[in-house]
Amino acid sequence: MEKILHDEMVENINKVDEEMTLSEKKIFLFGHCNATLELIDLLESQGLKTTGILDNSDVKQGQEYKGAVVIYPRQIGEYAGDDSANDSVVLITSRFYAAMLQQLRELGYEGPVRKVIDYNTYAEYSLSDDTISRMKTRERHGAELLRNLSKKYDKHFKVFCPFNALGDIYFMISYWPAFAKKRNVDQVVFCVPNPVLADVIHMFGDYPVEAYVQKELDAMIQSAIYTQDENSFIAHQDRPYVVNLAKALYIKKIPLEQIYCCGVYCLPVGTVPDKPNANLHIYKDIASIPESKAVIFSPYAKSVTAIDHKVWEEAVNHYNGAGYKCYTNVIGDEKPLDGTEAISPSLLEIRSVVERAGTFVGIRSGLCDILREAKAKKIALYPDYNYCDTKWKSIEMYNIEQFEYNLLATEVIEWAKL
Amino acid sequence: MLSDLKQKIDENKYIIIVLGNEPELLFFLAEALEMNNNKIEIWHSIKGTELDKHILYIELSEMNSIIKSYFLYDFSNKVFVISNSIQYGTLLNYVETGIMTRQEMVKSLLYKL
Repeated sequence: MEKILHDEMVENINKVDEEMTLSEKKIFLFGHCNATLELIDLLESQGLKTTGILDNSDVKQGQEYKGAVVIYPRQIGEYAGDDSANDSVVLITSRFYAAMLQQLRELGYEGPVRKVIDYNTYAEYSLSDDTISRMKTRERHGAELLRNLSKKYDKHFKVFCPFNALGDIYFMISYWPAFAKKRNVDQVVFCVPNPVLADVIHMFGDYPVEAYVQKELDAMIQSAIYTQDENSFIAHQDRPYVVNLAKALYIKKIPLEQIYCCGVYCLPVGTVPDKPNANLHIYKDIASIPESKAVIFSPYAKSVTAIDHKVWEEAVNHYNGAGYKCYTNVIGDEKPLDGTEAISPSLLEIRSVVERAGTFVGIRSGLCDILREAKAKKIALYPDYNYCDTKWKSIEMYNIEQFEYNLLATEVIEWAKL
Repeated sequence: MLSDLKQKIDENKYIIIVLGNEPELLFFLAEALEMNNNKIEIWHSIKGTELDKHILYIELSEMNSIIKSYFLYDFSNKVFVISNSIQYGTLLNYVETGIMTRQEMVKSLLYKL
């Protein structure tokens, strides 16, 4: 989880605790996802136990994390006890807070329900005058931000990237040239929720990029939708709510790359994406990496379930034993794996590092997309989880054909044979 | 019309709003709805398509007032709008590129409703 969101979560948990003394409540979390597991960790660090994780997914029932079992939302009464309204609380990290709150109330749950991260500023399930008034104010603020953007880029087509994910930006920009040609777009400006994403875009060309705080970007996007601004495009596969592409996945497996090509951009199947060949830098200490005798490990990803440390331990032991120098790609306060050295190249430098080293082993994350075209042996490890609430596994949705190996981390990996 | 929509939502109905000129889509939806238990209504403004009691024709001017609210914010998880858009990707893009048939699109839309 990004630090800014984690800090928001900590602040909101403290507020909820002041409001109702969490240690006196049975705590339920709604939505089994990475953010929920991080919340369980946070609560545990404060001496608080989670009673259960509510989730509508059939496949997740019975899964457990630190004593909290996944149950159906309709079972909350059974676990919360007779006085659930006073003895329990439901905490939500998901962007589907509004829908979850509604479901709980429809089930008859009367206890407090609190949103601990504001992921979704687009949704409020109400048609009250007060809600409409607040949303109109939000739209007007978005319109003002759009006007300011247009003053700076008056002839530019505006492309909004609503979500902070490297992989989404990679697919968005790789198919952009084909879409721009189809729509006769000459000049463009990309609007993103994190300045780091500009590096991904710049791997494909010297495009102008503007970064905004998430809520501001959301307001601009909402205003563009409300005013039906034809000089703009929202380049994402499931945000915001008007984008309904994800529904297709309930009945059909469509790999993420094809979702962008055909779903987001309506480009023909077989459209060739651009490759990242611009603005790539050589890592400053490249000479210190043994050429073709090193391994770059990437075990961390903010929005992906972590892989068991034993998997990394076995991999590191194998490569160290075979005479390779092992590195762990780290950012901020991330720690290198035991037996490896920390290395922190920028996004524009990491390809040079991997190509110099010769081998990359990483958890399947957006960084793997950045490295698709790197000339090295590349191994992607997939945690065993389903893509969103669909029946498709992550390895099916995110498989990278440019990687030599796409492996489920829960299965035995014979490193010597790779 | 917004108050009618609110009433339907309070009654736990799902409303699928079909924009644009897609009479073929309405036929597929009508077919799929035959299996349904009255939970879903289709609203549209395509003249000359009286198909089914669950498929309601709404005057364009009234439909526009609902769509304005829909484009202002996400006010319900029981309202779905089907349309082409030049601003973002929609399910109809999968039909146009041959990834899905119209029937498959309708099936995915009605999944678990």
